[in-house]
Amino acid sequence: MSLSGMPVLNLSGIRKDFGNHQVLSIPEWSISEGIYWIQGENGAGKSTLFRVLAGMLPFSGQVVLDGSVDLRKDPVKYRLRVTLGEAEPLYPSFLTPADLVEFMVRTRKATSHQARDLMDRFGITSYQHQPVGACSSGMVKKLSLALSFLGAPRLIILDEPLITIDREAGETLFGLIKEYREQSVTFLISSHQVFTSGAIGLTRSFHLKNKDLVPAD
Amino acid sequence: MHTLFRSTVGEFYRQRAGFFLIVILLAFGFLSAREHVGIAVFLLADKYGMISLAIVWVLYTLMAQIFWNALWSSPGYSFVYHARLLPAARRFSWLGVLAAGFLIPPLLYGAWIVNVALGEGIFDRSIPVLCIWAGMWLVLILWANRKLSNQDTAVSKKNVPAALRFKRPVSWVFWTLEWLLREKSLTLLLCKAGSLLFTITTLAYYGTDDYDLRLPAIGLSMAVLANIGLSYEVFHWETNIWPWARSLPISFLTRTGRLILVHFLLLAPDFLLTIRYGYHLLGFDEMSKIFFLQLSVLLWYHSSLYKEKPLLEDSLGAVFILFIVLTVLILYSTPLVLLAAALLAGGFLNFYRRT
Repeated sequence: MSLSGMPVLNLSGIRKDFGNHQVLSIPEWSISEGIYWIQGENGAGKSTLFRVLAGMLPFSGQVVLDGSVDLRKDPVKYRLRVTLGEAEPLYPSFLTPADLVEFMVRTRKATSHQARDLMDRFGITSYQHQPVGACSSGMVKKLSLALSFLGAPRLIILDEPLITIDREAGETLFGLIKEYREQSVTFLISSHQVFTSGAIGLTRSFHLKNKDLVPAD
Repeated sequence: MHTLFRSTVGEFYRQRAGFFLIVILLAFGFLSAREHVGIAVFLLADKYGMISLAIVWVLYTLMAQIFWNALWSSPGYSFVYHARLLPAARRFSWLGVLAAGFLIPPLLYGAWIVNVALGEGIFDRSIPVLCIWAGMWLVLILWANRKLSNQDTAVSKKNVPAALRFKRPVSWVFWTLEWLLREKSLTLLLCKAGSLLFTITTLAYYGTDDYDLRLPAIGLSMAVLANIGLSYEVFHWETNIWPWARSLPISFLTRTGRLILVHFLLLAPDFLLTIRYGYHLLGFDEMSKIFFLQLSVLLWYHSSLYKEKPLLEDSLGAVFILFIVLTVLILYSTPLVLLAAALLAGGFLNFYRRT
């Protein structure tokens, strides 16, 4: 059955609080396949939303992928299909990109061929044996982006993917987004930079406003 | 001044809280008041006393200086270099306060030694204590002033971790232990030193008379508490150092199993030492039961951390209560395996509910 008619991601009753401070309150939200731009002011809760969707933060409510894969009930299956490239990725400083890629190849059931291809395209190969602590923020960001494409994700979340990377890496990223989109991968992207629909073919934009996601158009 | 003090000295005590906690636990939990006085008298009266004190204090000052240097070399601390624009008198007074802040523990211990010297009627012997402290204080001030004048050396250096001589295994357990060894080596050293000392003392005492299994069970349960600093660091590694790893498709059971293995490996030296010192006192089955109890205590503590991401000091209350309850239950001859299984089950449920 084609997945095109079914929501790829469905959120219901999502709430996220940090102590007494509520960050997210999303009663209902769903998206079908496509590329979605999530906008929001600084501190609106975009990164928190993405971390919730990636299974990194506890939350109230329900997150379901492809109509049946529930983040709570089927956490491994869900995480196999959802990846996150963080805005400011943090990795243990003593590990090398090669260590992390190899680790991810095993956990995400990816192939070495795919890993090598992604490393080549992002230009990571040249510094793959250098500890992360010795890499610049742009180098770490490219590593994070490459890792988010590893495996066979159904949904790729990219939090501020363009910050700190050079133009060449930006073009590689757009190219990969187009390629993966052709394979029915859905993207959630946050960026303070304007995404023109011509660059990667945006499906729709949403605004994270007053803790909820509302259409931006 | 307030900002500088909070961001520099405050950060030192915040980041080194685990270290100071262990030192305090060792000093006040392991040594009696009489032994403290004995050490102070040794430092004052023995010909090597002052040299020993000076060596320990210099090592402490070196630790503080390394931390201070690293902190002021981090990009977020470039603002401190504005302090060099201050008039010399004010700048040195500020640096003096900062240096004194770093040296509070030796200052307090120095005051204790002077107090003992007064009590023993040998005050003149304590004068070098004040001189050593003042010397360290001046060295820190002069170094900090030099650091302020060399900002260009500050933000340009990058701390590159040393590479391994072999291919790093792709293993979360290995990476966790490697991180502990690289980043938390002092905590690792002190925690293990503390627990191993407790273990040896317990077994030595156990060998002095005809006691039953309850004595080593209580003693070694106490010994395992010296490892809670390490368990806390493992929690810190898992939740703060790279929380992104939580988004990986790893099952709950795998994650639990890895944490059990890490704790098992952390306690393995204790078990080996128990065998080394207790093989003629205890049967292997008895040692295994006690080790199972130790492991369960540590895992229960670890699981309790996931409740509200507490600070280490906030989690100590629960440990204290657990130890009292455990002691009472052991004294009432509750089977150790039953206690360990109950703690393990409780820890498992804690972890399941909170992660």
